[in-house]
Amino acid sequence: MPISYIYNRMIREEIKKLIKPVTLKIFTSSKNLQESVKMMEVMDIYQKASNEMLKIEEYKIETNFDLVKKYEIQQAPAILMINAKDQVIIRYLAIPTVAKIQPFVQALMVLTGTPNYYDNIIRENLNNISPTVIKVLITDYCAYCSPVISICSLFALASGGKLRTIIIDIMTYPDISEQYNVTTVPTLIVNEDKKLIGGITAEELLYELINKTL
Amino acid sequence: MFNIDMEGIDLEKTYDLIVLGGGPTAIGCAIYAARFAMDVLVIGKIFGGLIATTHLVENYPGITSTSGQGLMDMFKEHMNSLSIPYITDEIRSIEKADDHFILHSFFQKFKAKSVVIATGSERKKLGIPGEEEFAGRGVSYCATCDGPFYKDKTVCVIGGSDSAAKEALFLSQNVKKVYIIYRGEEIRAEPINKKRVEKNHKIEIIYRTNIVEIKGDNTVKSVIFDKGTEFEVDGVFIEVGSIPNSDLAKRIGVKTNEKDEIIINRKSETNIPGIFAAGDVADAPFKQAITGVAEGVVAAYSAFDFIKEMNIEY
Repeated sequence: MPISYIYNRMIREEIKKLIKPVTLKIFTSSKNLQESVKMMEVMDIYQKASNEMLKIEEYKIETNFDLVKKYEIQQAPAILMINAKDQVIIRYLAIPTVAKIQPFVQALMVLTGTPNYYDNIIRENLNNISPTVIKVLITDYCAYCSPVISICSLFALASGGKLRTIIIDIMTYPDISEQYNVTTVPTLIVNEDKKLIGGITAEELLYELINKTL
Repeated sequence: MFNIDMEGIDLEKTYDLIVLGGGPTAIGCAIYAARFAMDVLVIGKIFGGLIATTHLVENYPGITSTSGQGLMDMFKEHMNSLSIPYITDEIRSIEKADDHFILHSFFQKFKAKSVVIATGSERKKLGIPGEEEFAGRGVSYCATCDGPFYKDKTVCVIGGSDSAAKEALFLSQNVKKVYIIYRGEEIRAEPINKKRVEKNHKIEIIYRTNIVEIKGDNTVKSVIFDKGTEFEVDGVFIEVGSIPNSDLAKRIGVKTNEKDEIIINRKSETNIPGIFAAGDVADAPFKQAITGVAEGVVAAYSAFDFIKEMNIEY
C-alpha cells in the first residue's frame, strides 16, 4: 500500500531541513520482500526530496555477507545511521513514516552537525554511563512513541557511540515483541536486562542510564 | 553561555511568548502568535497531546472524520509552514525577572516576556490493586497504542464517557470481544457513538459495576467486580476521565480551583500578569479540542496585547 499523501508531503517538507550531506546504509532482504520494497519506496521519497543531501546505499543481505557480519545485521530491512568512527549509532528496524518522520530527520540533522539538545548533559555524565544498547519498541500510531524515539536517538548521538539505539516497529517484527513479552508501546529494553514502559522522559532515561533514582 | 541554533531555537533570546504544551490548544495558540509576528517557541512533552491517542475525531468543525493523529498532523503542517520551533521537553519551574520570565527545564533555560500554559491533562488512574502491577502487561490507557496487541482476545474498557465508547469501538476492530464496564446506569457517550456501540455485536456493556482488582500472572487474566465476581479478560483499558496537568502552575502561584484546573477569565488571563492558560488544564465547563484551541487563540491575542502594553517593540 503506497504511503498516504499527507505523510509523503510531510517527508518532503521535513527532509528539506537537512542541509549537509549524509549517507545511509540500508540492508534489505528477499525473505522480507514486502517490507524491504516498502522501505526502499519510502527512502526513495526522502532521497528525491533531499536536494541531494541524502544518499542511500542499498545492500541485499543475501549478497553482502561481509557487511552483514561487520554491521551485525540480524533483521532486514534495516537502516543504519553510522558516525564518523564507522559505528552504528542508530539502527532503524522500522520504516520512517508517520510519527517516525520527524525524529528520523532530526537524527540525520544532528548526525551531520546540527547541535544536539542533550549534548551537554550527556557529555557531563558520560563517565557514569556504561556502554548501553537501547531497543525502542514502537508502533506507527502510538503518540507517545515519537518523543521517546527522539530522546533515545539524540542521547545515542550525544554519547559518541557509548549508547546505541535500535528503533523496532513491532508490527513489522512481532516476534521481537513476543521475545520480550511486550504488550504496550513504547517499551524500552535496556541492555537486554531492563524494561522501561511508557512515555519515559529524557530526565527519567538519563537517571536510568546513570543508575540513579529521581 | 553561547548561542545554540537548534532548528531555529535560540537559547539566548527572550521570546515574546513561550507556549507550554504539545496539543491542539498549544499549537493553535502558537499559530496565532506567529501570525501576530510574535517570536514564539513551543515546549511540550508529547506532540499532539491526549487527542493524538484518539482514533476518531469527527467533531472538529471543517473535518468530517479523521484520527487524532491525523488532526495533529494537520496542525504540525500549519505550524511548520510558519516555522514555529517546537522542543520536546518539560518546564519544571518559572521565575519572574524584571520584564520577562525565566523557564527552567532539567536540560535548558529559556526566557520569555509572556507564557501560555496549555499543558492539558493526563488520564486518571483507578487506584485499585493490580493496576500498577500490570501496567504494560495488560493494563493500558491508550487503545491506539496498545490495541494491536489484543488481536482476537477479550478486553474490557472501564468508563462510560464518550472517550470510553470510542476506545471500545476502536478495539472492536481487532479484538474478539470488548466489555465496557461502567458504574452508572447509562453510558454518557455522544448519541452518535452510543448508537454505534449499541449496534456493534462485539461490544457488550456491563452497567452498575465497579472493578475493584485486576489479577493475573505474567499478564492480566481477570478483573474482580465489586459484587465479587471474577471476570476473565486479557486486557484492561482504563478511560475514567483525566486530571489537569497544573502542578507547575500551582508551584508558581497561579490560582486553581477545587478540581486543580487553572482559573482563567475570558481573556485566558490567570492571576499572574503575563501568564495565561488555555485548554484542558483550565477551568472550562465543557472541554473539547475546538474549545481548547479557541482559548489558546484568545491567550495568544491577550499575550500580544500584554507585550504591547509593556512598550516593547518587536
